[in-house]
Amino acid sequence: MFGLSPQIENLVIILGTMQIAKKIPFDDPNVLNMCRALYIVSNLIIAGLYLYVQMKINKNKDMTTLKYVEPAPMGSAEEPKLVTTTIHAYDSAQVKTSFRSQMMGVAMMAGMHLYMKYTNPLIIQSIIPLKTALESNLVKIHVLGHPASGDLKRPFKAAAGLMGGLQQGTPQSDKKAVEAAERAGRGGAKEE
Amino acid sequence: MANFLKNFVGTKSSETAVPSADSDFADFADAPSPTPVAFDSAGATLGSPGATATPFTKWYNVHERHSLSEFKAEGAILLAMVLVFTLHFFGTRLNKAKAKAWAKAHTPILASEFSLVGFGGVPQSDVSPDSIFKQKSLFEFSTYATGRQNVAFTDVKLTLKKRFNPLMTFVETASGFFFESFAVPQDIAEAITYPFDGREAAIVPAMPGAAELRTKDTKSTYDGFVWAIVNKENMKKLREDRYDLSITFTKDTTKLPNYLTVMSESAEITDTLLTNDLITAVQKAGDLFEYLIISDQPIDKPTKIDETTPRKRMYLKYRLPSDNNYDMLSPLFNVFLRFPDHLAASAHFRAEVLRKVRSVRDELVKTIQKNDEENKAEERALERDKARKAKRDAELSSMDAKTQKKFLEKEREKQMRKQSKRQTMRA
Repeated sequence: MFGLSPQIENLVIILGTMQIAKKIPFDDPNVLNMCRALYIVSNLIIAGLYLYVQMKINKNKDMTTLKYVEPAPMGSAEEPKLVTTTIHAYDSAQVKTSFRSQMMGVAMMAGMHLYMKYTNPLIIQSIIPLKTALESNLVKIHVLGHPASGDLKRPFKAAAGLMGGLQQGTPQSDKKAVEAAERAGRGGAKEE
Repeated sequence: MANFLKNFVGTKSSETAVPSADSDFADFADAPSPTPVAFDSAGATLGSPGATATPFTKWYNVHERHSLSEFKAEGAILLAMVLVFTLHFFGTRLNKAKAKAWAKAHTPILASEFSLVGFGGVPQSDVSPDSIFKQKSLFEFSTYATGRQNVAFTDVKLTLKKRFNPLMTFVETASGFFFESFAVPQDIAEAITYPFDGREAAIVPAMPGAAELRTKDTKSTYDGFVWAIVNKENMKKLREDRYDLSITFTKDTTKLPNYLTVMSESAEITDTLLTNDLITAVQKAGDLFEYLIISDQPIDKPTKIDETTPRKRMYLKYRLPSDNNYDMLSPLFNVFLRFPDHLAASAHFRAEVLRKVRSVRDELVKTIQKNDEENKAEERALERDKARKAKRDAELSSMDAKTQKKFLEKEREKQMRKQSKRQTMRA
């Protein structure tokens, strides 16, 4: 938007809306209901967007094999794991994950609003997730029609957020890493 | 109680009740001793023989005291029960019909390949499709076939949706959407073939005359390897769930449609096994095909040495078509049943190929051995420490106070010296 990274933009929006939210008279039941409607509509748009993306994925059904090495989670002594999948399965899994996280957000919001009676987050929560959804890699590829190369090349890199230093490494898809992990025999390990 | 008695004896008793000093206990004090009333005054309610004109009052007429509207909850329960039972009835019927359709399509194939099909125990000339399945539960059916060259036996298992419990199916489907660890319910057929691999003598019961027959066909051995054709949709999960597939390379071939891939340990193995028959059969099965695996390794990653001994198996899995039309799937099953012949005939590879295959297995054995040894060494060290401590305690307890003190001091000094040494070394 302004040449800023999405994280900074989000931060600006959060701070801005927090200031605006202070001015909104939430005591007025009409205003409150309008905020609720806004939140619901925003979530419906997000759900529709994800469903549309899923539909597109199923229509394209790109069965090209995708191999990459998933880095070991932080603090575990495990070796990195090879994932062999298809672009279709990968995209479907990604949509599912984002859908699931959105549902989690809605459940949290429902708890906050209905049980603890917080109203301010309604506004922030109807803007930020919508923005995230519109900026997600899958929407860029399947809705906006960007070519799946460069930053949009699968496997997607984990977004370098503010916590970037703490997060796990990015998945590798170069031939050498894949070949090293391919026959490691990681499958079927019994977990206790 | 007091109230009831009051009503029973009429209003008079309350009038005659004398308020006592303790008004709280008035009821209990007075109620048990109502003043006797004249019989006539209560005659109507008691229904004396004289008043037979109204023999049944509300007291006796159940239909006047109660109405159906009081039993709404019971009605709802009954309705739910009827619903559950009908669903159960139709669901089990549907599942049975589905299993029967499979049996109808596949019994001729099984009967032409095996001398014994089903759990009858006696080879029959014509096997009826109704009898081959054993119902393990309302949604699991299994059958068994044996008596064939190169094959010890074949197990087939159908796992169907829980049609008799739509609520459960719905919950399972929903949780399958939200959590990857839950599998979405599907109608699945799984077949496992256990090839003889040259061990007929150990498995087949000895019978007169069988020995001569056997000497001719001892060539059922084939080399151990892992090889599979897999539907790409599930290859990620398969690789995670099964040890045997996780030691293979995944390589697409142009011979197969783009939704299928081959997992193999060597290109030469793929060339030998990917026959034209197999390709056409798998292609015909289409999207319903899940995997065909030929393996000599266990599904779970071995943790002990004796778990690493190769056990040769063939696995086939496909989803059942919803219209019960098996024209497209039975060729695949046929190829699967006959595949052990192909394996015994041609799955013998060059030494270079096998060396590559074996190196992975040897490596696993080596790591297991190393782990075992490490564990043992740790145990031994622990035991040694224990023995040393016991010895020291025994020594200490046998000394008198003075020597004990000296001993402890010495020990402490020793420890101090050790510590300081360690510190200087680190610095």
